[in-house]
Amino acid sequence: MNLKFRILRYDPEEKRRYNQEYAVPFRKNMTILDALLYIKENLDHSLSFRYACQAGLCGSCGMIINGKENLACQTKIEEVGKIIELKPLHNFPVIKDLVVDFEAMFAKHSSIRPYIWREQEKFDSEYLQTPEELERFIMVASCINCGLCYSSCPVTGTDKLYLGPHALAQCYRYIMDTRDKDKKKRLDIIDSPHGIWRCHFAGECSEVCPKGVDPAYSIQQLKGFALLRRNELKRISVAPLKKEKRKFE
Amino acid sequence: MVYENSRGIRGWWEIKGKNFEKLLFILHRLSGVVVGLYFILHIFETSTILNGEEDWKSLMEFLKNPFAHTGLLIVAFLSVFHALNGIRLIFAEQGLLIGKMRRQGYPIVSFSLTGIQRKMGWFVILLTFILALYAFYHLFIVSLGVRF
Ligand code: SF4
Repeated sequence: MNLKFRILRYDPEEKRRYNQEYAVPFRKNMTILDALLYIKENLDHSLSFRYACQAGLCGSCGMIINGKENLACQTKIEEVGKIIELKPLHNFPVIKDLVVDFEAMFAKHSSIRPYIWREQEKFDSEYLQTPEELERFIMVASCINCGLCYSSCPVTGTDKLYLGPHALAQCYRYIMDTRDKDKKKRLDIIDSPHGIWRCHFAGECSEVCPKGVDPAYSIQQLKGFALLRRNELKRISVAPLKKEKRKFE
Repeated sequence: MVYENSRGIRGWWEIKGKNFEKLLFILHRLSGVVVGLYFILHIFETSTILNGEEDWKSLMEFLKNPFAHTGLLIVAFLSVFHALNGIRLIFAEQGLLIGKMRRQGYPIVSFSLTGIQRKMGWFVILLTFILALYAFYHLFIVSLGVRF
């Protein structure tokens, strides 16, 4: 049995977008990425797409598969049918075929300072954290930066300055992390018209996220903190260094 | 040379294969615009009273027809939806009724899309239809005297 692939390609030299069709022999348990590799090896060496781990961990092979954002390595042919339409992710500039430029998304990610932020950092010992404290943000920490949420968000499509679900979810991750100290400063970064208030809870980001990060949840929590629950932030304790005394030790 | 592949305003209206909250998002935008436009017309309509009772009465007579009342029924449906869905959003956008943070396991389910807010969404739609039915009763049966 042959599968029919229709791929929306982009030729950057001729600035031309066009659909190209390929027939790929079906194999049991085949993924979209397997089929793309088959095309690349046997049918068309010029087709470009990005991939690395082939295990849903690197977040490189995001694309639109039959109208929905998904990872090519995690999507089995059996799930999507015999006619498969592939397009590059939305809201990212397309470099070639299915390869998109993540620069804008990563710049927004940097703007929320995606690292532990303390006034005086000490490097001579690790910070302590209880397993319960870890549970408060572990879900958001499993983000693989695949950009599926950024592509699916209807607001990102009309507001280039909007920080987007990926960066905002990561901001929530650091706010909930007890090793991070200045939560109010973080909140100030995102408490803006192009920050959390641009989100209108369409929920598409959470619908497509392959890791269950649930960015929509994080953004609504951030709005709650910014509006009525600023004081709750004080209750998120700050983790001490290992050398310091702590109740649970 | 890259190709800007933004979804643009088209992304607001895409519904095929999307989640229930996206449908509510579309309806909320649409109802907001329609009700906003209606308010502008409504100001013009009610301002005719400044021209005296005669003008007001003749306008009311002119608007008492099935076409105008169908328009009013649509406005009633959309404004009720907008108000009720607004209440759902007030809760959801405070981080309430959208579930609680927990470690993900397989199969992955985003719980903000399965929590009480989603049930509220269905309730909003149900209540909107019931109240629109009530508006239909007044606009067509009581006011225009339609009999079935
Ligand atoms: S939040 Fe989910 S969809 Fe968005 S970049 Fe992270 S893993 Fe991908």
